[in-house]
Amino acid sequence: MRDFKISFCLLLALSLGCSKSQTVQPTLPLPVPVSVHLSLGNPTDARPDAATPDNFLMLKDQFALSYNKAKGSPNWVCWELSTAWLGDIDRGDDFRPDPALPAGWYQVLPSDYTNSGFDRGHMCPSADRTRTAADNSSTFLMSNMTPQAPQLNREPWARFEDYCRTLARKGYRLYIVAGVYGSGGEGSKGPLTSIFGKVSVPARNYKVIVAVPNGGTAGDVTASTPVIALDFPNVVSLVDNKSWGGFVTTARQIEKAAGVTLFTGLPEKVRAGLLDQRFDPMGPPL
Amino acid sequence: MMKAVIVPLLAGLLYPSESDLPVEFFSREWPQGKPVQPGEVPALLGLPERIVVTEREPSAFWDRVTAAQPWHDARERERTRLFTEVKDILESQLTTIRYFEAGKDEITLLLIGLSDGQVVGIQTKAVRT
Repeated sequence: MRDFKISFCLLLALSLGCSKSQTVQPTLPLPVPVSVHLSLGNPTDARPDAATPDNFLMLKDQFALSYNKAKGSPNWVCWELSTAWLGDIDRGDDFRPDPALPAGWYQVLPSDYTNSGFDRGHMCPSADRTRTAADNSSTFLMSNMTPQAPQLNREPWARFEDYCRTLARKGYRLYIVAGVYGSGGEGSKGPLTSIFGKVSVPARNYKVIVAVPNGGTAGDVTASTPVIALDFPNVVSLVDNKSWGGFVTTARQIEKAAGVTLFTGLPEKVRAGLLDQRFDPMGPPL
Repeated sequence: MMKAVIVPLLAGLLYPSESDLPVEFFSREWPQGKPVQPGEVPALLGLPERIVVTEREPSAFWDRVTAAQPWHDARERERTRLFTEVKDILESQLTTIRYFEAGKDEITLLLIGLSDGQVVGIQTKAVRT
């Protein structure tokens, strides 16, 4: 909303400064639409503007993402998770290209990952969207996928996804951002920086959750609201048989490493408190 | 006989999920002649007894690999053709076809029916995290 206000003010100022006889229209940044999934902020100030193809904002009912055309995958995906999103809909498994990408952009196919040694790794997991068939199906769009080392996707990443749903069932409302950075991972068939020139393989996968207790919303977030920040190498041998607790870091470290800015939708004092929290996986559970 | 027809079709055929995993021909002696029950699946597959087994409609196995999609490329069109051929053979040759899923995250898929004192069908895995 803050971004929208800034854009609106800029538009107003430029409008007042132009006479009616002028024919050249200024190019303005598009305002960022409102989405519950961006309640805590937009990590790279992404816009729904095809002129910024490597930071292209896509808003879906079920999640929001910054798509990177050059990499063929999202930079990050943000979503809200609470029991309201959880139901008993069966998993759709309908992996498919995302037709909502701008015309002329390559739409990554499920088969682009075949024989790569990397899994089609969900950012927003299928099991976080089981309220309706449409919700679940949205998670199988290839714009929600990144090449993940199989043992990352199936072990610590999957166990942390389970843990997030456990928190939701305990009454927490989670604001989640999952993303990638760096170049080059190691899958089951060895190291790769790109899958057949169509999808870039990231070096790291990160996830940051803010867990608001008692079904609270973004407005209830304080500097002491629990945060869990994880940063995983996309390398089979470094994640195999490992618990997610071994990859805890701070949101501030992820900001530095991934080049994102987190929690911009919150007051600065709250943001600073969240950035420096380090979750203790050996401490009392949430 | 059925093995000789199906095995060549399965060469290089991958079942898609979060990964793409090979499909294998499956057969075991089954003299009792009764349809396989979910509780009998772990022993058939050599999996731990306590593994969770779910029986689903065979369409849950076939629909995602036999339905043509407008965005399919040549590789996916060929995969669809091969799975459709395998499906047609199994449905014409087997009785009492059942479909089972065993496990979590890395799930064993078993689609089998009865034929001449054997359970026969195909087996693969799906990654669903």
